[in-house]
Amino acid sequence: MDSLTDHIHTISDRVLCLQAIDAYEKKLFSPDFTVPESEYASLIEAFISDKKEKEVAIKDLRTTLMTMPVLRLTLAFTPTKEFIAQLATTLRNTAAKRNTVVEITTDPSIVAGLQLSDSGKLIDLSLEKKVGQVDIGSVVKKYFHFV
Amino acid sequence: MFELTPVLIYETFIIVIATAAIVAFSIFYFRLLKGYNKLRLDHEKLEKELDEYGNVIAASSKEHIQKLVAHSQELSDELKTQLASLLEQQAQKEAGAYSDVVAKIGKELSAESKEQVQEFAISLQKEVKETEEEVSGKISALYDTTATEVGKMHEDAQKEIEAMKAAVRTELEKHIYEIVQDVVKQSTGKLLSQEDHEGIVLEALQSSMQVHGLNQNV
Repeated sequence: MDSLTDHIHTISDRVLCLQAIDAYEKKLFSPDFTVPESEYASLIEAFISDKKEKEVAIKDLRTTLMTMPVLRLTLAFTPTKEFIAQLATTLRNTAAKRNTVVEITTDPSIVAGLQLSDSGKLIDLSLEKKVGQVDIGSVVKKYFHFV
Repeated sequence: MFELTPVLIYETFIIVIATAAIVAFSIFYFRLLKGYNKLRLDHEKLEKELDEYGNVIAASSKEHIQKLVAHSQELSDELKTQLASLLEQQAQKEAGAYSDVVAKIGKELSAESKEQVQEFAISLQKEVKETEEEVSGKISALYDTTATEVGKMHEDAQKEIEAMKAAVRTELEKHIYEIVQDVVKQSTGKLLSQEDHEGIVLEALQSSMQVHGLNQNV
């Protein structure tokens, strides 16, 4: 299952994977049914091919996917698919939380960096926050001696 | 542009007071001259009149003598001569006495004129001194008042400057943060490439995990 979940980084990926699982499940009961080709079709097939109880395996897979924790990320730019994979992998490895998926939102107002939200807790690693931490008053006094 | 400063107002007041003093002195001086001239003319007129009167008296005395001499034809020549001599002596004596009187009156008149002029000069001096003191007093009072007012204006100006500084400080602090934010957003938004963004994100994650222990929060 890890080989499958390793390919699921975002919520969108999860949705596509679940759709593929539904298709495979349908095929179990309708052998004539053709599973649509997708990135996850081959992975699912490889996962369930050596399973005796395929239905149970599919059910477990579906449950695993649905219960994957969601990390909400806010970025100042639109990331590429490769970067999302890199980000998700980094988060999984360093956060010691495997099987997490990320939900990415783009917000240019954070300027750069990212904001992380998990179960209501916010970790602000944005450049906007760093600028806000600067003591503007002391900078002003440094250049405007008359105030 | 012409600016009405406290120093300018003060200097204008000084000039006005000094001008008034000069005008007053000029008036008194002309009055003095006028008075002196009048006295001098009166004195000359009086002397002239006295001289004329003296001449008239002397002429009259001579006439009397001649008459007496003419009327005394019956007397002897000697007596006539003696009488003439006596009468002449008397006439001379009277004329001399009269000219003494004239001279004395003239002296008295000069002394009187002198005295009057001197009195006038003393009176004028006194008036000038009083005026000087009055003007000096007014200038001192004006100076004190102006100095106090200028001091107060300076104090008020200082307070206004401090209040303005505080207002500028408040306004700057209110807007400078917004300005910096705006500049950073505009500059970094335009300058950062996709790679730069990706690098910043990964770096932020790494440092946050090192500092805060991201695995504890996520």
